[in-house]
Amino acid sequence: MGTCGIAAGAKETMNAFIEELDKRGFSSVIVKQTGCMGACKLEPTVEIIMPDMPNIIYGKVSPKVAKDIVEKHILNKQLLDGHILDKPAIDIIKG
Amino acid sequence: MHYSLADMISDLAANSFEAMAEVVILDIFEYEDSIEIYIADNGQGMSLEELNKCLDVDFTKDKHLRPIGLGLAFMKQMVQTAGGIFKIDSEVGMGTSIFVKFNKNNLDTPPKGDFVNMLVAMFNSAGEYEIRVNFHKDNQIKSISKKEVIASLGELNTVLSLKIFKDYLLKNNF
Repeated sequence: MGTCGIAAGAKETMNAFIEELDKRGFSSVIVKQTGCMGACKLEPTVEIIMPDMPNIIYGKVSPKVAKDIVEKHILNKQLLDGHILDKPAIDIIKG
Repeated sequence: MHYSLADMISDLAANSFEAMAEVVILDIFEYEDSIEIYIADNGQGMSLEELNKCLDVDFTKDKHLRPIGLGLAFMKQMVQTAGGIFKIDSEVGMGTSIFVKFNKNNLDTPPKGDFVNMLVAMFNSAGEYEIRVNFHKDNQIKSISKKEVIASLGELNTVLSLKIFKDYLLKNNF
């Protein structure tokens, strides 16, 4: 985490992901923290990489949004609108 | 914005990781009236010119990622506001060491914060490095290193391993 992420609450967000994923039995999911990527005002930011879904970076991920991402994106394979920072162009997203 | 001592320490450690340190040693000394933090690494280090500028918000060694560097500037602000002490030393090719001291009785000293989640995040950072964290209190030392934890749990990157590590820290009052 960079200073911006820490100040924006990224530790709590990371903790929320770990707790929620553990609660739902996703114990083998890899969680890795990184540094500042330059989008400081949008921290905490989280990138989700998983099969069958495009790689997505979410911004302003609070602990509550983290739980929503686990339920909607990871469990139900649906994008969580309102927090998407970066995703592939629409014509290359399948389904 | 919230910024505790644990947040400040996380930030200082992140600087060490970004400086490609292979070894980071963190000592936290808690006394009745004060708390002292000492962090040293064998990362890239800074030249005298960089050392003189490193506390400025405009200075960062990662200009390709971000235009400013806030961590050391925040540390400086926290220390000055709380009447604390800080010292920073660095040499190119040798590494960097930072000493910070806060008076616990000063109202402006930030709260200690969440050391458990600080350790989870610190031990989970990207990169090949060893970190040892020593907590000194009441003439006793509680010590933990990333190498020892990985030897017990394997790589600290899955939800399960992070959860087990966190539960261990909570059980042992870190």
